[in-house]
Amino acid sequence: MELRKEYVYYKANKDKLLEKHLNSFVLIKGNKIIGFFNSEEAAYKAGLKRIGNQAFLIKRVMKEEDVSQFPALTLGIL
Amino acid sequence: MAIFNGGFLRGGQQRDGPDRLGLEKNGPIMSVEIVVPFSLAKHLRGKKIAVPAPIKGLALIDSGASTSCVDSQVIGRLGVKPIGVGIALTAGGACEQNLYPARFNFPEGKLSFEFSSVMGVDLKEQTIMGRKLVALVGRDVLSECVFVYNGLQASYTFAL
Repeated sequence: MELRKEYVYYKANKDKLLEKHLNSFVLIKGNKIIGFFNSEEAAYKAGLKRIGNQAFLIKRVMKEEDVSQFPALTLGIL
Repeated sequence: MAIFNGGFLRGGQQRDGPDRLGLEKNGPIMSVEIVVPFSLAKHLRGKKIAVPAPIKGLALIDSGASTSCVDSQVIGRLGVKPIGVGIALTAGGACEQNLYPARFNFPEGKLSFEFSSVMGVDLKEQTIMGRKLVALVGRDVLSECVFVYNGLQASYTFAL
């Protein structure tokens, strides 16, 4: 999976981020926080401008992670 | 309101009546174009880089999917890079999958959706009636639409 490094960094720093940036969208490249934004779209535009069309992590800072459900995939139908 | 009406007919002929088994077997499907998201297209044009052409295929309307998905190989071929990590429940338990910004165009219904992120999944080269399945339309889209599934008439309506 791409973004492994960024995701590991996010999880390692999640508690600190929750203290001050709950519900913000954090933009991370490598082991560096690029900024905080009010929406995923704003973070994406900023990422394109500052980093370019590369893989970077945008993550909403939340206590509980959203889990997506795909029964067809889950059951191996697809 | 943009409306798409789909359905299955026996032998493809109106006079032969609805093909219930066809709908049951294939599900409610729509032609779809997977398109570079607006922000990335603007970024590429600003750098005088050609914007990749849309990739055509089929989307399955999947009311069981909580979020929409795109085939990760297809979105990768458009040059769209991942921007997130989401958790998906699979047969092997919860797993982490990349998220991508994307736009889905449904040319038959003149419908278009811009997603800040959709989940990239491996649709395993699945085809429906000889066409490649490239996306699942989940409840994130259905929450903004009217979707009617008429099993008796082997038809469905998707309206935004």
